[in-house]
Amino acid sequence: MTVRECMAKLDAELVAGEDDLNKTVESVAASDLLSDVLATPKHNFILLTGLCTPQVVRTAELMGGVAIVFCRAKYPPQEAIGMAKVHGIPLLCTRLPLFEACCRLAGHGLEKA
Amino acid sequence: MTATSALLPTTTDPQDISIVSELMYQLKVRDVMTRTLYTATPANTLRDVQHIMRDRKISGVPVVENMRLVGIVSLDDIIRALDGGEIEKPVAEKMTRHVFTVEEHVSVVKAIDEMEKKGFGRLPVLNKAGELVGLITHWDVVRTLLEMLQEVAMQAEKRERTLQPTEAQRDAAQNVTVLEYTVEKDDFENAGRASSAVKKYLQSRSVDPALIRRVAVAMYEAEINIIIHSLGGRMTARVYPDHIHVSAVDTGPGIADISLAMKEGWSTATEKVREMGFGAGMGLANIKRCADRFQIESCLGKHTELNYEVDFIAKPAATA
Repeated sequence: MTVRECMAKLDAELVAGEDDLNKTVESVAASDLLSDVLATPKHNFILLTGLCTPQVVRTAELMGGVAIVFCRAKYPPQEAIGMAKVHGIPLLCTRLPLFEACCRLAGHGLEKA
Repeated sequence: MTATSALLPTTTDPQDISIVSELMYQLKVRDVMTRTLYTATPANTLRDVQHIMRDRKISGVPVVENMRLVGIVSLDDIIRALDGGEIEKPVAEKMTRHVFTVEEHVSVVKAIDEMEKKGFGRLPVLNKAGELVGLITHWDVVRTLLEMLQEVAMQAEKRERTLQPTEAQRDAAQNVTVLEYTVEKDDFENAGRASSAVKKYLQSRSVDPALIRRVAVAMYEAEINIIIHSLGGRMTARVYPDHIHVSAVDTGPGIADISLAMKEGWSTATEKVREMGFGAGMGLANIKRCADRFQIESCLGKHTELNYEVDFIAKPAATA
């Protein structure tokens, strides 16, 4: 599944990273706890989170995350957008709560847990 | 396109963007601001301000009373006063009292963003005590970036010209590259910068991405620990042909009970840190999981030293 397809399923708005929307997403990491994200063994994941700080982008960058979705219509700060552009990580915003966003992505061949 | 994004490189090639972008995030307002200030007091006349502007070739003069910024007089104010025959009136009557400012410890990226949003070419800079300590303009940012880039280029040239023969010889003999970073207490804005730089370096050496991830995750956890728990410290990565050694040394409170600190879920982090998504008490255990060899020592009330190594030979059991 591509980032673009995830964006459509989540009715998400693109904040940054238009050039990287065709990257392949293999799994989903959903958490408001970056410590948990840092401990995930998943690869090429899309990160769904309610947190909205530059550290979310840094965490995804260091983990090799493919894209980030900010849930509940949270909009990332300028530093986060800049960092995401630099590292080629698309940032998406969705109005959906975290749980519903997960449900929409479930069952599309993405690796669970 | 905003000024911020205009200043940020748009390419996504990690080799191209590294220096300027990292400098941009690293730079604080206090690093670039002009500290020489020409100010007026509320009791000065607008004529006095007009003279300051003319003599100093500036277009805005902050008004200060007891170190506090109380207003600003712009070139427009002076022109209006000249038109209206009010040039001899005291500054206090005509200055703009509501002044947008920026604090000296915020990042340059943020300051540029503020200037862009407000449509100003300059912002007065205040310290934590609210006192006027400088002025920042777009030009200050560009000038400092150019100076820093020149410095980076000169250092690179210096190294090329074997100005450090001993270090170069030692590196050549042992084939080791040393990358060092200072990590400051509470500096969340720059959290992960060291880890990101090491990751980029390992990518340039074509190390297996799965191994790079283990190195980077462990380093980020250690970096966050220094930021959250210590008074500041240093991270050093020594890259050998077949492995990497990372050390994180800090001064600070130390760890009272290391075996307890290694337990997942045990943490002394504050509520503020937890709100940022950290401090869940998983860090040390995660570093150990990512590393092939791991060691931690701490002296209560003094320091903590953490060392870990990752071999550049992929292990199937490794999970990170």
